[in-house]
Amino acid sequence: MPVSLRRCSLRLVATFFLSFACLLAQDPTSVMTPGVARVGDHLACRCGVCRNTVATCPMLHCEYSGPMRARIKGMQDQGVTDQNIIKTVVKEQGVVALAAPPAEGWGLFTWVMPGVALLLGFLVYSWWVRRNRPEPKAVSDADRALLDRFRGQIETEMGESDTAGGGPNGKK
Amino acid sequence: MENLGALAILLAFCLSLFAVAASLAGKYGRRPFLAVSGERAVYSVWVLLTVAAGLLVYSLITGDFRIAYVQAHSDRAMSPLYKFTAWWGGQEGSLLLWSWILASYSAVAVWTSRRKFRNMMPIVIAILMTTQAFFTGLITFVLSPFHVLMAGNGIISVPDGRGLDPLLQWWTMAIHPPMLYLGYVGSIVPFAFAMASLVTRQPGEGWIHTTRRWAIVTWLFQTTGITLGMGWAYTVLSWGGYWGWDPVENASLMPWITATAFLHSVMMQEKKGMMKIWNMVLVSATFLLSILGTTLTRTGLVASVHAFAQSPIKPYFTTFLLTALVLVIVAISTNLKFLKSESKLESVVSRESSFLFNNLILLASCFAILWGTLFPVIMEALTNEKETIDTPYYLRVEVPIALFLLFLTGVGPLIAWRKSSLDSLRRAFLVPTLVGIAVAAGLGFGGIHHIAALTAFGLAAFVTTTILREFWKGSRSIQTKESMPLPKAAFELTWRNTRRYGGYLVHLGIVAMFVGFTGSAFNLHVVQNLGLGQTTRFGHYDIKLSSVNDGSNDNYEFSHAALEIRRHGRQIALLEPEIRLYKASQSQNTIVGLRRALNEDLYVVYSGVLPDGSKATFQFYQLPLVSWIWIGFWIVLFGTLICLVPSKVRYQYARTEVVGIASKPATVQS
Repeated sequence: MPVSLRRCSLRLVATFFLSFACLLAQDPTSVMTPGVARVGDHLACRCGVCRNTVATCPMLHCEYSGPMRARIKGMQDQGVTDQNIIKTVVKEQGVVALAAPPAEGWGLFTWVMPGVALLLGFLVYSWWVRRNRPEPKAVSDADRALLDRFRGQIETEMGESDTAGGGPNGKK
Repeated sequence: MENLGALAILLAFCLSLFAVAASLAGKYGRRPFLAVSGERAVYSVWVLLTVAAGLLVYSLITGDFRIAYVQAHSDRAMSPLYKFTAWWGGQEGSLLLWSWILASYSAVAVWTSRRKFRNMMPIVIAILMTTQAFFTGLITFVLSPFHVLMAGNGIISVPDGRGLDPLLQWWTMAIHPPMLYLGYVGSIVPFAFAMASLVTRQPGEGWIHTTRRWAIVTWLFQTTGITLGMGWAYTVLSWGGYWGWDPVENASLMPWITATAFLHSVMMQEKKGMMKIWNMVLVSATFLLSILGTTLTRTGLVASVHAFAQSPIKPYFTTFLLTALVLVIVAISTNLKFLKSESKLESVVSRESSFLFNNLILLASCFAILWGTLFPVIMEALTNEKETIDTPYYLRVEVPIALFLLFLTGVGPLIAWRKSSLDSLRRAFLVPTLVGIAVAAGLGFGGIHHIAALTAFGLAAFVTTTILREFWKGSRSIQTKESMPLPKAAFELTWRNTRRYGGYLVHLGIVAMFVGFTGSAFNLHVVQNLGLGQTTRFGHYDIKLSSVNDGSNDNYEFSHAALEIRRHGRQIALLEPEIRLYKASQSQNTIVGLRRALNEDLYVVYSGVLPDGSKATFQFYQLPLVSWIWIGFWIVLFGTLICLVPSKVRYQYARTEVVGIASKPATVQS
C-alpha cells in the first residue's frame, strides 16, 4: 500500500494516532453484521453523546457502541440467542440499557400514555362537537322543497366564489 | 467595566419590579401617571440591558480575561464573530441574551400597543416585567456574567481564555441560538396579551389580531431556529443526521407544536368567536413549554448533549414554572364565562371541526414528546431506576401521528367553513386522492416497498395537489374575470388574501420538509478504509482518496483529506473532509465533506488514519432527499412572510349564531 500518508506532519499524526490508535487497532469496518444490527437495534448507545441505538450509533470511535457490537458478535459466534444477549446486558446494566422501556411493569406507561392522550383528545373533540352543535330546527316540507330547489345553485356559486380568492371560505 | 455591567443588570432588575408595581398601581389605583411611568420603566430596562450586553460583548472582543465568563468562553485566537457569539456560549451570557431579547420584545410591544389597548397594557407590562424580573434576578444574584477571577482579595487576569466549544464555532451556531431565543422569548408576548385580555375582560377581537401577528413572528423565529439547529447538527456533528430526539431538541419542538396549533385555532376565535378557552390553553402552553425548555436546557434536569452543565438555578426555574402554571389555571378557570363560545358548530364536516381535530392531533404529538422526555425523570423519582427513551420510541409513536397530520394538512383546505356537503367533498377530494394513490402506486411499482415512506410520499402528493389546485382555481378565475396573465392573477390572488394563500405556501413548505424527512428511510452508511490513490465504490459513486494534508493556524491544527467523487467515470465533486484539534480547548472536531443534490446528499466523515499509516478511515453516507428539508424551510419562510403582509381586501366575518350579542353581517372593505 502507498506509504505517502507517513509524510504527513509527525506532530499532527501523532496527535491523531494517540487518540485513535487503540480504537482503530481493530478494523472498524469488520464489526457490524446484520445479526449485530438486529440485536443492537434494541440496545441504547450509552456513550452520553448521542441518542442512537448500538446498531445506529454513527460514531466510529464510540466508547460504548463499538465494544458492545464486538461483544454481541462474540456472543453470537458462541451461539447465544438474540434474546439472551439482550437479557444478559439488561441483567448487567438494568433496563436503562434498552433503547426503549419494555412494554411491561412501569415501562408499559411509556407506550400507553400517548394512546391515552389521543383517546382523551378524541373524547374532548366529540364532547366539543356535541356541545357546539345547534339544536336541529324543524324544517317544513315547503322549506325543504325550496332548499332542494336551490341546493344545486348554492353549491355551484359557493364553488365559484371559493375559486375567486375570497374570504377564508371563499364566501364574500 | 464589570462593575458598570453588574450595576446595569441590578438596575434593570429593580426597574422591572418597579414597572410591575407602577403598572398595577396605575391601573387599579386609577393613577394614569403611574401606568405611564411603568411604560417608561420598560424602555429603561431595555436601555440598561443593552448597556450590560454591550459591555459583555466588548469584554469578549477585547479579551478582558479578568472576567470569569470571558476567560471560560473565549480566547485570543478566536475570530471576532465567534468572540461575539461567545455572548451566548455559556449559561450566564445566554441568560443575559434571554433577558435582553425579552426587554426588546417588551419595549416593542409596549411602544406599538400602548394607545391601542390602553386598558390592557398595564397588565401586559406586569406580566412581561415579572418574567423580566425573574431573569434579571438570576443574572444579578445567582449567575452573574460579570464575576471576576479572584485570588485572595485581589482581582487577577489570566493570559488567555479556554475558548469557545469548537462545535459552536460555526456560522449556523452564530444565529441558531438567537433565533430560537427570539422564538422562545417571543411566546411571552402573546401570552401576556391573552392573560391581560382575561384579567381586563377585553371586549372585541382586536387584541386577538395583535396577538396572532406576534404569534406568527415568534413562530417564524422558532421555525428558523429549529431548522438552523438541524442544519448545524447535519453539517457539524458528523453523524449524518439532523434530529436526534435529544431532550433539548424536544424542548424546542414542543412550544413550536403548540404555537402551530394556536395559529390554526386562533382563526376560529377571530372569525367565529369559538374555541376561546382552547386558545387560552394553547397560548399558555406555548409560554409554559418555552420556560420548560429553558429549564431543561439550563438545569441539568434531564441528561442531554446540548444542556448546560448542572447549575444552581433548578429550584428557581421549577418554582417559576409551577407558579406560572398555577396562575394560568386559576386565570382560565375563573373566567370560563367570559370565554364562552359565541357561535355554534353547523356541521361536523366543516373547517371549524377540522381545526379542532388537527389541534388535538398536534397536542397528542406534543404530549408524546413531552412524555418521552420526562418519563425517565419521573421513573427515576418513583422507582429509583433509570430508563432510557431513545429514537426508537419517538419513531414508533411520532411517525404515525406525523403522517396523520400530513393528511389533515391536505384535508383542511378542502373542507368549507360552516358545512360541506357530500357532493362538494367528493368533488374536492377526487383529484388529490387519485394523484396521491397514483404516486404511491407508481413508487411501489418502481421498487419502493417501505410502507411508511410510500404513505408519506402518497400523502405529500395528495396535499401538494390540493394546494396547487387552490392556487390554480383561484388564479384562473381572476384571470378570466379580469383578463390578466396567469402569473399576475396568482399574485393578485395571493395579495387579496395573504393569510390564506401565505398559509398554503407554508403547508407546501411543510410537505417539502416531510419529503426530506421521509428520505431518511433509505439512508446508506458504510465505514471504509482507503489508501492514497485507492478507489472504492459506494452507492452509485466511485470515490478516490487523492491526498491527505495537514496544517495549523492560530486557532486549530487540522488534517485534511481530498476525495474525488466520480459518477459514470466523470468527476462530479471534490470533497474535503477535515479533522480539527482546537489548541485552546484541546478538543477535536470534524468537518464533513458534503455534496448536496436534490435527489440525495453524499456525506463523508474523515475519521483518522490507521495506526500503521497505510490507510485513512472514512464514513460514507448516502442521504436521499435531505435537501428538501432546507428547500421546505425557505418555502415556509416565504409563506410566513406573505402571511404577515396585510391583505389587499379586508374581511369581517359574521357569526353563525351569536349568543348574547347582536350578529354582524359580513362586510368587505377595500
